[in-house]
Amino acid sequence: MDRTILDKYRGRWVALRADGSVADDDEHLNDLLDRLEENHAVEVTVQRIPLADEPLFVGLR
Amino acid sequence: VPLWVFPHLDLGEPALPDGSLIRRPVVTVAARESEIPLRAVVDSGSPISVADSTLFSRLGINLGEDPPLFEVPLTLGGGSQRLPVYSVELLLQPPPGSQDEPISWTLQLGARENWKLPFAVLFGQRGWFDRFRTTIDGNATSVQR
Repeated sequence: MDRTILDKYRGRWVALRADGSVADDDEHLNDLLDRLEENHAVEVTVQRIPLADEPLFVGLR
Repeated sequence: VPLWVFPHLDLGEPALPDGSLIRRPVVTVAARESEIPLRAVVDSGSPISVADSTLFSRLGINLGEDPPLFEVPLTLGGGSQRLPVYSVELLLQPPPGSQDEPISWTLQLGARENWKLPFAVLFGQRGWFDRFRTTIDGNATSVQR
């Protein structure tokens, strides 16, 4: 992941191209997926960019 | 047995105080062939598998109406709630550069509201390790298909 672009997208869901660039983003996952499908986006992968001060996830209990 | 090797990924989490990046064991899954793939973390310490509730609507499951298999109390990402668990089918995407076809499998998956983690799915012992023989080292996740 290109960390130089992270701050712009913190707290948002992003669609990443294979080269790590951001194809689209949204506050809500469902809205992002809807838009990607409408636009026939291909070869992107979706994840959320955590906030800079979010606690680290270390396990499920 | 053919292996798929998924390199660990930096998901943009804040670096540790010494500057080192956090790299997660990550695979990519989709609700079906035509759906956008989502990043999922593989966690051998988790007894169950859990996903953002958004994924379930993409799978045709109405969380307010469709009865779950069962419910479990769960703390995840700082919040606690009773979690409905459904039987779902997902597609595991091959690692980058592979020409292999995705693999479909059926698993039990819990639906979590208000998901705030950098990945949309967390795969644990039930749902992942009971299907895929998996080796995780410091650099990659190797999955026997």
